[in-house]
Amino acid sequence: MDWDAPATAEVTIDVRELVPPEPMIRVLQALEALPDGGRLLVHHVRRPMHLYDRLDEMGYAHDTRELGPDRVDVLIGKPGRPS
Amino acid sequence: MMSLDSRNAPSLDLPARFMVLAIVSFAVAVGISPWALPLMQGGFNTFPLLAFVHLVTLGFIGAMIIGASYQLVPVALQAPLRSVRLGRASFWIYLAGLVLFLTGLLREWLPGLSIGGTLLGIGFTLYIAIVLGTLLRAPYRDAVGWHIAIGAVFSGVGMTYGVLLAFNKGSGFLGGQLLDVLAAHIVVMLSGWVAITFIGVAYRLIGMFTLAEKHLQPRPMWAGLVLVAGGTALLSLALLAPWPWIVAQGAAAMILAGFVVFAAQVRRMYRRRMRRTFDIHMPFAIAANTMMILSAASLTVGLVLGMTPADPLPMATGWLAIFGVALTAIQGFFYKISTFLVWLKRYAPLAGRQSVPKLEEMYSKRVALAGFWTWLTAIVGGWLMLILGLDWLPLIGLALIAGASCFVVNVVTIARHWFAPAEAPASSVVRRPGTKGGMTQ
Repeated sequence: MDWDAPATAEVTIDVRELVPPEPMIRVLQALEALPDGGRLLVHHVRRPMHLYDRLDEMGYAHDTRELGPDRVDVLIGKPGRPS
Repeated sequence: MMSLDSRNAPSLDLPARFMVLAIVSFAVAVGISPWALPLMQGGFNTFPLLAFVHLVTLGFIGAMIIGASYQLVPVALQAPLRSVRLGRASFWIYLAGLVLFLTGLLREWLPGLSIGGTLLGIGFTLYIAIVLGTLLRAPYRDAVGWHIAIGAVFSGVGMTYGVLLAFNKGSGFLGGQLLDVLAAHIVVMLSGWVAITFIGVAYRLIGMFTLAEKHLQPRPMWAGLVLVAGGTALLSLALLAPWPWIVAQGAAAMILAGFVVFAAQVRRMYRRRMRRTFDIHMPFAIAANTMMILSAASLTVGLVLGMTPADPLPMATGWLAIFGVALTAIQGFFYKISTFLVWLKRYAPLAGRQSVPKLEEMYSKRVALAGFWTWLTAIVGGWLMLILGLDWLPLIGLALIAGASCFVVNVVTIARHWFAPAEAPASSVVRRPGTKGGMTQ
C-alpha cells in the first residue's frame, strides 16, 4: 500500500491501551463506519496477527510498519464501491 | 521504518486439538486422584504411579503447553508459525505416543513403553522444530521469545532422558545410574521446560491483559532466564556426573534466585498495571508463583540436608511443582488463552458489525474463584499430608475433584460458545469515551 496516497477519508485510532480482544473490535467497528475507499490508520503495540486473518477474509488491503519493539502502525484500506 | 508483510495466524484447530486432549487428560487424572494420590506414599518409581504422573505431565501439562504455544508463539514472536501442517501431524504422533506409553506403563507392556516413548520423542522434536523455526522468522527476538525457545529445547533434553528411562524398563542398561537419570529427567522437564515456558508466557500474557508490558525490565528478565536455565542445566549435569554435591546445591539456589527475580517482575507489573480491575488469572498466577518459589526452596534445602528418595520432602516437592505450579498456572492462563481462542473462532467474524461479549463474559468468575480456593486448599493439604506422612490423600483427591469441577464447568461454558448459533450475544462492546481507544478524525 502507498502510505502517502490520498484517500476519500482517513481515520486514525489508537488501540495501544486496550486489552484483547478490544483492539480488534475497535478496528472492525471503525472499518464498518469508514466510507468506501477510505483508510484506517491503527496505532498498536504489536502486529495484530489475528486481525490480519479477518482483514484478508474481508478483502481489505493492509500494510504494517514497525516503529520499535512496542509500537507498530497498521494502515488498512477499505475497498471502493464498484462503479 | 521497516515495512513488514503480514501473514495469517495459524488455524484455530491446531491449538484447539491439543487443548481438548489436555482437558480430557485433566478430567481423567483428577477423577481418579482419590485412588491415585496414595500411590505417592509408596515407591516413587512404580508403574501405576508413573502412569498417573505421566497422564498429568504429558496428557495435561504437555498437551496444554504445546497447544497454547501454537496459539501464543505467533503473537509473542510476531511471526507466523513455521509449519501448521507439521503441527497438525505432531498432534497425531503425540496422541498415539501418549496412548501407547500410558498403556505400556499401566500394563507393564515394554513394547508400548518403547514405541510410545519414541513417538512422543518425535512429537516433541516437531514441536521444538516449529518453535525454533518460528523464532528464526521473527522480526526481532526479545526475552519472551527466548524463554519459549529455551523451554522448548529443554523439553527435547528432558524427553531424551525420558526415552532412555522407557528403554531401560526392558533392558536395565542404566544400571546404577537409573535414579540419577530419573532425577535429571524430572528437573529438566519441570524447571527447564514447564517453568521457563510458564515464565515467558506469563510475562507476555500478564503484560498484555493488565496493560503493564512497558513496566517489564529487560535486564532482570534476562538475568532470571540465565539463572533458571543455567541452574537447570548445571543441576541436571551435577546429578549425572560425579561432581562435588555443592555444585548441585548451588545450581538449585540459582533456580530459586531466578524464580525470585520472576516474582519481582510479576509484582512490578501488577502494582503498575494500567488496567486496575481484578482479572481472574491473577490469583492463579500469584499462587503458582508462590509455590514455584516454595518448591525451589524445598529442593535447595533438600539438597543441602542430603535428602534421599525415601524421604518425604522429594515427593512433596514434586507435588508442589506439578500440581501446585504447573496445574494451577495452566488453569489461570486457560481463562485468557483458550477463551480468546474460542472468541476468535466464534465472535471475531461478528465484531464490528454487532455486539460481542468480552472474554470475562464467556465464563463465570464466581465459579472460577470458588474453584481456585478449593484447588489451593487441596494443594496445601496434599503437601502437608506428604510431609507429615498422613494417609488422608484420598480426601485431598476429593478436594481436587471439587476444585477441578469448577474449572471444568467453566471450560464447558466457554466451549459452548464455539458451537453457539450466530445470533447476537447478550452483552455489548465496551466503549470508553475519552480513552485512547476513541476514534479521532
